[in-house]
Amino acid sequence: MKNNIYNHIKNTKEELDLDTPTPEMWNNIEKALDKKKNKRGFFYLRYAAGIALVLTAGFTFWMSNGSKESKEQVAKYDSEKAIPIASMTPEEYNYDNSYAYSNNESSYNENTKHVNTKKEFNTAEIINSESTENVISVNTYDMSGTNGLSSNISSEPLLNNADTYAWTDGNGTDLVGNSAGTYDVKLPAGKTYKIETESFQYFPDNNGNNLNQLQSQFQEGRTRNSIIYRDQDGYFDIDIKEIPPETTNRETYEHVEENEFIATQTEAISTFSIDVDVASYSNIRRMILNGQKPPSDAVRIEEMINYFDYHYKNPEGKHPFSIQTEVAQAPWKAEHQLLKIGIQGKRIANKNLPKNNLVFLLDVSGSMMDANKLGLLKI
Amino acid sequence: METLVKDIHHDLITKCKTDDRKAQFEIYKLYSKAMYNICTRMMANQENAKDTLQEAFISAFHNIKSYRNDSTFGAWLKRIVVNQCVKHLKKQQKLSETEFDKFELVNEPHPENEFEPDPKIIQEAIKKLPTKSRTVWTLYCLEGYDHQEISEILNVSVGTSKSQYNYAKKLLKDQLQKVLS
Repeated sequence: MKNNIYNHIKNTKEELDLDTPTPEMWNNIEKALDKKKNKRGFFYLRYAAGIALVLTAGFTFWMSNGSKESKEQVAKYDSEKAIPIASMTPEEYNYDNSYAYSNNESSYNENTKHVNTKKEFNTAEIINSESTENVISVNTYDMSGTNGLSSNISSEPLLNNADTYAWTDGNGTDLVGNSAGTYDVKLPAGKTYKIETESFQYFPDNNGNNLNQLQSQFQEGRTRNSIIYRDQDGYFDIDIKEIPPETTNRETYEHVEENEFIATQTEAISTFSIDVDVASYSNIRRMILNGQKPPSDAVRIEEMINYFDYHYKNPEGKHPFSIQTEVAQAPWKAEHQLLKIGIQGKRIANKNLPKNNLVFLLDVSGSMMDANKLGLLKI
Repeated sequence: METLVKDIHHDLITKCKTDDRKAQFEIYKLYSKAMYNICTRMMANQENAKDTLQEAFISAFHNIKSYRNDSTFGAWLKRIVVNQCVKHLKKQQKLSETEFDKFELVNEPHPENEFEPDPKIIQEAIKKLPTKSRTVWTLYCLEGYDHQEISEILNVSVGTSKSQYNYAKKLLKDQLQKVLS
């Protein structure tokens, strides 16, 4: 009896494999394998053409499998900006705390549990309705089997703007009928929609007293482009958003893994490259000024430090560079000390530079039209 | 049937030993999904899971000559993947000793329930577990390692493995029952 859950999980563990590797993962593996191969010499080059051909074939197959995946990523990307349906505390709504809805926007995805089952809906799905009208079917389930609100749910979608579909929950607060059912919603042609389902259980008291709050949520939902369905004991919210044509410009950053602490007693020598990139600072500044939260991988500490001029002394005499050091207590941990080593190379006077040829490359492609491209460079 | 499947893989593996990229890709296609899901469960972070899987496969292909058919290829590969995960978790200091062994075990009677939740819910609940107990639980319940093996993989005592397993079990049960009640 107590092993119910475990037996179920063990028996269905294949079903738990919900994550699919993305196509670029094989790309990375292949690159790494190639790197090693190249070191072995040109002997393999003879076979390169054959291998490339085979891989192209294999990869096309892989890509076609992967296209759905990439669409979901788009959806996920957008859902980060989605607004939680209501700002309320779990206590106010008698939520089951273990799967409490979080009103903290930033953790929207993580803390909102998808209790919507039966796989009729993924949590986020793109519906391309550009050429034809689509009808989506919304299935609702009465999780507890107790009577719900179905008699108060109008089967006619209520349209309050071009993209909003909502079911009314009527004016009444009677809890009658069974709420499980299937409802169809038409999506007019000409647009791409995002459908987001969100559901979680909540428990109004036995007299249905939380229905007032439900109604205010409903009103709130109407201001968004969403389909909303509510039940006494389950709650479904299906968002439909118009997806603007996909902008291909998505900034990506290589993952930065923070180094672990190394005991100098055991490893006394470290090597590092002296890099004076400063892009990260201005990049982050741009994002913050735009009101965006910079992705953590965009924050590259060394570039933040390098951005500023520390007025290091010029090297003197025969030395090609000067070294300046500073030690201070780490502000975040008193027993740690921070050592900064500043290195200044020779400054070359600009007027002594040899003549240069400058090559200008003009990019007149559509990618330059994006809002975050330098206005100066636009025609 | 079983032997047939093994034979097909055997040929591919032999080709992989000659650095045949097509064979490597075939092997990757066969195993990547299952292995990736081990990574996502153990790391509970998609980006880390991706990195770990890539490193594990690269390492496996580089070292494939050391595979001597003494276990199934899947088990061999799985061990590489698991070790890679553990390496990463240790690097992130998520498996530090202090986190371990501080949990009390409570044996509560649980009511008998119909248990048919969506795999997504289970998956989410697993990822919510604390790193150590999640690692132990995943290895034991889903990947089929016993406590002795887990204690070797994680370099902890058998008792620790058991207590972490029980702790994870309790947390999971509590969480899932709350969702389903």
